[in-house]
Amino acid sequence: MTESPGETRGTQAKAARGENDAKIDERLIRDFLDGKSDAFMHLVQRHQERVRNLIYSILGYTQIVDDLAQDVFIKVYQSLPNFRYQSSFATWLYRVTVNRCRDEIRRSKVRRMFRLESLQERDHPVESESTDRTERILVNEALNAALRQLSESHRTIVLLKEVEGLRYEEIAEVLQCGVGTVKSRLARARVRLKQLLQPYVEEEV
Amino acid sequence: MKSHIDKKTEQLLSAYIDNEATPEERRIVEEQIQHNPAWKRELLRMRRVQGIVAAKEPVGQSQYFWTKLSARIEDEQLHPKESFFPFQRKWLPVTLGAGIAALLIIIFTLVYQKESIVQYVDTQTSQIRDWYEQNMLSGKVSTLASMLSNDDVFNFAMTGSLPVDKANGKMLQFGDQPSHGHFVEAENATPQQAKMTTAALIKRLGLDRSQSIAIDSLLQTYRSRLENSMLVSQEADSQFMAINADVWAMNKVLMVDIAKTLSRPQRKNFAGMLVSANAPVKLNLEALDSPMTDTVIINFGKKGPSRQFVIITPDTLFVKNVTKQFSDSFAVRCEQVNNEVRRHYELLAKHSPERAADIIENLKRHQAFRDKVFNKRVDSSLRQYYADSRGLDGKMKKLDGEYQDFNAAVQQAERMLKSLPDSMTLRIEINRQLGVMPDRMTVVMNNIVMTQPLSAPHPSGNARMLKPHPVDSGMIWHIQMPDSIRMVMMPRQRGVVLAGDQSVQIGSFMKDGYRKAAEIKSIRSRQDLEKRLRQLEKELQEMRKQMEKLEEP
Repeated sequence: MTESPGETRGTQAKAARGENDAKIDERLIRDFLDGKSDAFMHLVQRHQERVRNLIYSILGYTQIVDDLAQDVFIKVYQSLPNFRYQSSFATWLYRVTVNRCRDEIRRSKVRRMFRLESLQERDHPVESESTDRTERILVNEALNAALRQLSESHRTIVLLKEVEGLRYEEIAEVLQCGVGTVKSRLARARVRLKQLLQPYVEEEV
Repeated sequence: MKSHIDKKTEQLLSAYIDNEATPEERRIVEEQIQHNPAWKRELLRMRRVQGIVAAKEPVGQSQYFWTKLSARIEDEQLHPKESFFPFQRKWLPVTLGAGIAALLIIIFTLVYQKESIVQYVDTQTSQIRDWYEQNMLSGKVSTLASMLSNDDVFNFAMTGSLPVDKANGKMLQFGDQPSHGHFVEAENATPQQAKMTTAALIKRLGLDRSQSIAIDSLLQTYRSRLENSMLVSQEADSQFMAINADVWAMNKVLMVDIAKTLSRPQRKNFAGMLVSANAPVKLNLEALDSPMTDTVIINFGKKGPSRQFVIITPDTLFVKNVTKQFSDSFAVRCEQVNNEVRRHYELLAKHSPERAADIIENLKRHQAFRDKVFNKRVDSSLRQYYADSRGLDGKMKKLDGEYQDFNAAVQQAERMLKSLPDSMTLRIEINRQLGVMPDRMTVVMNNIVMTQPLSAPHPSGNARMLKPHPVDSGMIWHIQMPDSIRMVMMPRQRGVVLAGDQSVQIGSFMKDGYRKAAEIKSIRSRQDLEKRLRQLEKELQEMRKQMEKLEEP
């Protein structure tokens, strides 16, 4: 099960794409700092879905996704003049997003209002869906339920890896911890997810 | 060959599927999965989990995300949140740990740096100083406020020394030396330095109740001012202590202020107390009754704190004008009002002994209110609004009235605009008497003169049409035509019949529309005002709620 040439090419292509993305971000940041008013808009548009998805995945509910995403970009807007490129913009953005989510979770706990998306909030009733779609929704719901049962740190690490596709080193930078910690936490989180998603996992295996 | 999957194996497999395993780890895993079914199954499970998570459905797209975000950015730029402190509110809970740590370093520096501060400054490079100038006050700053009691302030008035770290017995001694000017020294409090208390003062001088209250009120006032006069940094990489230049004068002014509340025999005793306490300053009894002394005290209270701060860092010491904080703050204005109110009461008590009891009661109420607002650490913006609330009510009513007027004007103007035609057809009828039928016509629109061709004669043979024109509410039409020609203007279905010599009426009709439209534009541009009004309403409501909570016993 070594990495196939196809996989290697895929990884290389991904790395090249990442490099290219970083360059575009860098150029937009420079433009923004030079006073070009639409540069920040482009920067937001490039990353807004990624930020919104991460927030949604970490929190597990949709109600305040946009508010938090706006907070994140306002923070970015205010802090960009001091951005020193010690990490890539995307990594920094993830860090700001994760921190904002953690902040929100802390506040929610304090307010005792911590609630997660309920089944009633589904946009489409299951009955009206095709079999494939129904299956997908069921798996997705099971996944959401399983993610909710993980601790915030395990949830975030899994999402950064599997959904956002970050490397261990990048995750360590976002979460400001060591690569070893990332490695062990991710393994633990996967084992826990495997237990929680057992029917869907065993089905295929 | 391991068949059992332990934690280490799980970690190994997890890194393997992420392509993050070392070559050695990869070799182990690949060897194991070829020969060990348990490893292979586990790897498949992990890949399956990976697949399920990666296929997670994204959150639905957000419409107008950028529009909303840019509005918020603009709003935050136009209306930055006002804060009493020059740092984020989340840092408000005074984290004394960091502050004291920073302070101890400074104190350590000062205690062991026995050479003159002036010489010490000279030895430092301007580079370090510049660094501090650029970096400090942008960070987190806390005050020494919560550590001071009224007795501390009284002691400060008498001796010029102020406790800065009570737990470790650290004091700051403020004073003047003819050769060096102002100085501040950090020193350890010694048991010999018996603290002077207000209780001792009351007992020794035999002060009555009104005098005690007046002195308490004074100490409270000066305590608040001291609060904002001594700041420490909470930033690990920018440690400093900033002392307002007023502090060196404050103890003297306070001492004189206290003396002013005393009778002549009491003052004499007070002067004796100062001598026996080894106070660095002597009380000039004769000068106390001089109007100049009053002026100095009142001015000191009125002018608010100086902008000048002496900044002491572990590396250097310098003076800097700090403009971005405190001097315009609500607390300072309250201080001034408080001083004036207190003086007003004192004056009343002096001239109306018969009303003294009422006055004392008032003073107490005033003090109670002040304590409530200040000592409960009410949010500074709340204080601001509380202070403004009286004025705010009036302002709100005025704005409300203005808003109603606008609303009425908007509605009226919008009705007017609705009645304006979308397009206009002009039908020119032949003046039968003259038999004239023009084929062109001059129309003046917004000062632009246009010659418009008229259409072919109307089938009836007695009219021509000016082709329909879109009517912009911002345009003024003025039709120039011979007086003798009769014109029919037909906006939509509604026909307005005008004689040629009434052409001005078209202009004025449109002009009126234009005026109304302009009015609407101006009203719309004043939506900011409405927005502000709504904001004020919201804030006022919030403020009232919070004040109600405060008022609760």
